[in-house]
Amino acid sequence: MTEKVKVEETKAETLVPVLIKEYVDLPWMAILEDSIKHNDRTLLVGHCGIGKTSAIEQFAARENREVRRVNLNGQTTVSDLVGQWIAKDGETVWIDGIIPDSMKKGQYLILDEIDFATPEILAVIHGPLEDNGFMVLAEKDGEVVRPARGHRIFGTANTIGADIEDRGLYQGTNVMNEAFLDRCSTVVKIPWPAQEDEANILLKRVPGLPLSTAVLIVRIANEVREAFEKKEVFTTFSTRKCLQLADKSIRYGSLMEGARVCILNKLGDEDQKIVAGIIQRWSGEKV
Amino acid sequence: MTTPKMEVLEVALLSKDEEEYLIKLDPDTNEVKALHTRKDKTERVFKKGKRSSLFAAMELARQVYNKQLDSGWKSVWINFSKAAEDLYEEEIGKKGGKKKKSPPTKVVKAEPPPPPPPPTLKELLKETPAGLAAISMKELKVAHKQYRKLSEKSS
Repeated sequence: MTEKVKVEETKAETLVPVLIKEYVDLPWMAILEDSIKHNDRTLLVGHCGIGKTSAIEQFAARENREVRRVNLNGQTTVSDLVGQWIAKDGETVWIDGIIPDSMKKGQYLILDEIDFATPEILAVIHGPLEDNGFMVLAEKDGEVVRPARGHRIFGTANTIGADIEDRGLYQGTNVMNEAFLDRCSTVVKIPWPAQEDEANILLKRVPGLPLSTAVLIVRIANEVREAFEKKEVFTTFSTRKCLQLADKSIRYGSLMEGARVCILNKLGDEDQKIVAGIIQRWSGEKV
Repeated sequence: MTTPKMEVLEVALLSKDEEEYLIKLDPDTNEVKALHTRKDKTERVFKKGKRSSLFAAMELARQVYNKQLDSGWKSVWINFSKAAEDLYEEEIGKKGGKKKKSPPTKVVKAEPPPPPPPPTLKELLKETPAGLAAISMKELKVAHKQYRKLSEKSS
């Protein structure tokens, strides 16, 4: 579903994300909070499922700000971002793209998976990323769009693009050009949460989850992450996966059965064997 | 006021042929002595030990007695329980209370010990895989049952 379709279907008031009361703030989020306060152009870099987008959404929810998201995964065109002329009732009308629209409405704009964006797309973003950045809609009539009060712009990426190993995991990502990175005044490299923090996230977000199972899942996740660092597996274990596994474990009454549907079946044969072995060793359940 | 001195207690007598072995306990010094009396009636301290408490001294006397039995001596008489009672009465007397016999032992049914507190997050993070799996599997089964109950209710 494209962003434009999403906007048409969604009422404006629902663009404010749902506030998650059980949300656990992690140490790195203090930098994000500070960058929002000072209107920095912020790039969050970290593995998928680590909570980059959800952190921005939760800060927006606390401020009652609307959030627009666009995924720059290669399908996004320049006109999606900037705008385009369309035929309507026998006339041609200009429809703002997501960037000028969010700037005018003072919304938070999240440019997701910015490491997948092509140089042409990144070039479009350069203007709004400048300090006091504005955007010139050359295709329209040269309208200059200035950000309304409260507008913030964020980028998220799995990798900065320079690490060959990471690019193996995130195939299709591009090395970000220096001109783009230079415009991001704050870049946060997000670490995996500390074990205690991650266990607390699971306990707060998954009702009824026993403490021991939360710890068990966190320790499995950490062992898979270590295996990834040692290049023994080509997958890692995100907090999102931990949450999925916690939920499935309660529903199935078995950690291994839960893991089968939300972890193991997503992996290739080799990774599946290794990850299943780790889960078996920690849970005591047979594969 | 000086504390009255307690009497030395004779706690056991053993014999072998015509020899005798008397075990004594001095409650004032917690000293255990064993007097070995020969045919010629000469008496000498054969064993001696001192303990920090009276009960430890009593235990030592009992050990000496058992050792002699193992070495082929025969028990003529023993007075451990009487000695304990005497000591009890002496103690009461020392404190100026009314002398009385030791109260009958009341059999109290032991209450089961309270369950240990559940392990904390920090403790669980240090647990071995097997230990953690054992705890988690039990608790996960209970959580699953509760989940099933709630889902049945809501459906």
